[in-house]
Amino acid sequence: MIEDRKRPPLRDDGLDDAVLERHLSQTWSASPGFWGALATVDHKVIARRYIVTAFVFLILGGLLAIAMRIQLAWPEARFLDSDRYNQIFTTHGSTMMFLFAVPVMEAMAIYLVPLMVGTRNIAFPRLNAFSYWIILIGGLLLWISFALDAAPDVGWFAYVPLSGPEYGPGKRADIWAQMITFTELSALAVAVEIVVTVFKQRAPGMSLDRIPLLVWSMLVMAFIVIMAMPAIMFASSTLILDRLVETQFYNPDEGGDALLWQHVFWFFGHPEVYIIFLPAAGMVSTIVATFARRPVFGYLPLVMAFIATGILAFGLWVHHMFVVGLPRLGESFFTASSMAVAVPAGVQIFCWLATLWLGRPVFTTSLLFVIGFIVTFVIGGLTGVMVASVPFDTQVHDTYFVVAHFHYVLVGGAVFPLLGAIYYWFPKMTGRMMSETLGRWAFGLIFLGFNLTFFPMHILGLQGMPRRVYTYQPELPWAGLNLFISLSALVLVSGFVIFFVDALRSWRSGKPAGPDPWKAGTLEWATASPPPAYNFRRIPVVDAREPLWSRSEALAVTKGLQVDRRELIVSSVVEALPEARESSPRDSIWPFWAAIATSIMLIGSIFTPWAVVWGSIPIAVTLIGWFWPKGTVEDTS
Amino acid sequence: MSIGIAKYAGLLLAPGAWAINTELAQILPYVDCGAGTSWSVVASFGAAILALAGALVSHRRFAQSGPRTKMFIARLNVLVGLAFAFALLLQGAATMLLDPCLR
Repeated sequence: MIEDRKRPPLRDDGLDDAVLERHLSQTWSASPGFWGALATVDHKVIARRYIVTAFVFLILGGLLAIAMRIQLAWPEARFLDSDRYNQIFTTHGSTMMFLFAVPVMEAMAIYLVPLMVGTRNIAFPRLNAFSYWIILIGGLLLWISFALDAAPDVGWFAYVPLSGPEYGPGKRADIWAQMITFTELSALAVAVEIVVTVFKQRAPGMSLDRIPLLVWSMLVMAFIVIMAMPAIMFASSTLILDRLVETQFYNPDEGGDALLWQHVFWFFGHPEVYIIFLPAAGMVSTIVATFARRPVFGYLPLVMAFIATGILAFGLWVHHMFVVGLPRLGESFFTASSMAVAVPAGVQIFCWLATLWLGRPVFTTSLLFVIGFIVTFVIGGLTGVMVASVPFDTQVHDTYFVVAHFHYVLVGGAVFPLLGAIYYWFPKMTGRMMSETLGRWAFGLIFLGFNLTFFPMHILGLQGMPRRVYTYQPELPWAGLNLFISLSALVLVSGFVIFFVDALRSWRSGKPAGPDPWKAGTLEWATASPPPAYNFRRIPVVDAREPLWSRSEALAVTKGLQVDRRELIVSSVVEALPEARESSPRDSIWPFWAAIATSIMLIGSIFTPWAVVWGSIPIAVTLIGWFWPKGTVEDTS
Repeated sequence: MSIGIAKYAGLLLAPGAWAINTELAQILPYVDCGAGTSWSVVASFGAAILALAGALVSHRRFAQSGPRTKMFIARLNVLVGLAFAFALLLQGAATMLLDPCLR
């Protein structure tokens, strides 16, 4: 620790609100202009960028889905050829999973967790900035390759040997694998930030049993990321090694094992579902409580359900591999765990229903999306129990039944709550309300369009239509349903169009929201909308799970934080007792340059292994700049 | 067992037993099939008992008086322990129903 002896610190005690706000604004605001925007480490700015970027990828992925539906609307259609179709379903799946679903959930965490725990910025804010640039470049890598007709064509799980050197010539599979590396790196960075923020930066008094449920869900999600992502990092790196320097990880002829890929991929791939679903469950818990006008029913069982789901997520992966010939008894253990995960899922559903039943629900657009989620997710859960059974799964494996199932789980389980969450937190993020009228239209069309599009896929699957076929013969009995599905997809698209129009229109000219338009109970509503750069004028002291509901007068606040430098409170893990005043990093351009240097190394390593060697030099330079000693006090007790 | 560890018994023992049993499920069927043993059954029900014991230890801690936060952690551990005991009992049921040589 280096003592700063130049001047006495300026603290917030005794400063009136206007003076305090002026000092805090000077200290926490980003510099104006282009370079200031690139250098900012404000969690809210970075989260907004993440969210907008993720929704752009959602639109792009959605356009690919439309292209597939046009191709499949008629037998032997010629809208797409087989090669382009392969690229499209691979890019669609990869975009939706890696560039939309995971980043958007993490983005919501980046925005909301610091506000909900009552701190001024996320932990490791420069790492946060770095993570955004990394995922942006990873997404561009995939989509530029798509624009150049060189996109991956091996499916979103890129099974070997199809993606290996024997059957995957060119660089398509390498681009997929390296895009995965970008997204893993970004996700891991954010996960570490969330864990540290939740454990060490909570407002005084926010003990473990007072943490908002959304924050609990994000914490569990972050741990899943930390446990699951190294597996896929191993997988993508070893795939590139097999392809580039002729290692033989997945080549049985040389002692490798093709099945290893499936094990490693799904050890990540199944928890990925919960990486997406658990934040959504946290959003639902928050929205249900606010609009039922009462605390959520069953806080403790819900926390248990999040944790149990997060752990059980790691014992389900073989249910994606039921047809590869493993011993039936071994498979049955994964059936058992797949059935068992229905218990915490059911606990959550019943707690939310009980909250609505016992409260006085106000059916805003947010709550409508939550109800849509409950209906859709329960259907997806039921078909999940069906495919968890080995004999049933053997019959429907690789058919449209599975496509229907996972869209019900992922869209129903994550996108519906996410859209509800956007309607709920949009006023906080922008200071403006979205339209309830347009919102109800959007909900109605999306709910109807989604079910009309995806429910018939169950029937198509039972009729034997395989996944990933670019066309089918007229003699097969699938044409009518496929045309119906393609037309229904237009209804779904129209709902999304209304949603985006509403969001853009409201951002520009929506009704001003005020700090707490929903009369909600959690801390993010205790500050202005949108929040200032420093989040809270004074850090609140928490004495209840819904601090804004538990008292009629203003929240108690802490005193003594320095205002002429970025400073926040570090608190204890269990009781959230204040332990120290910690400096929070200033804006820096170095995370941006570090992301550029890392990207050059990663993309270069698709073509030559030497890129790892020479690429590490610019990375080292940028990291030295990033961590260069500042000569300021880091923390004080 | 110290109070600190007892408090977390449900969260540590039960998922730990379940994780180990899930891994053993990749190994023991080959052993059971080859040697005609029933190690899968023993492992599954042993792990289920361990998970229940974890929940019970946390419950005993929960029955004692203490600060609110510690009670919360203990109750959370009991519920997590029970959830994993249920998963292990399902796995145990599978060992009773299926022939380990079945492919």
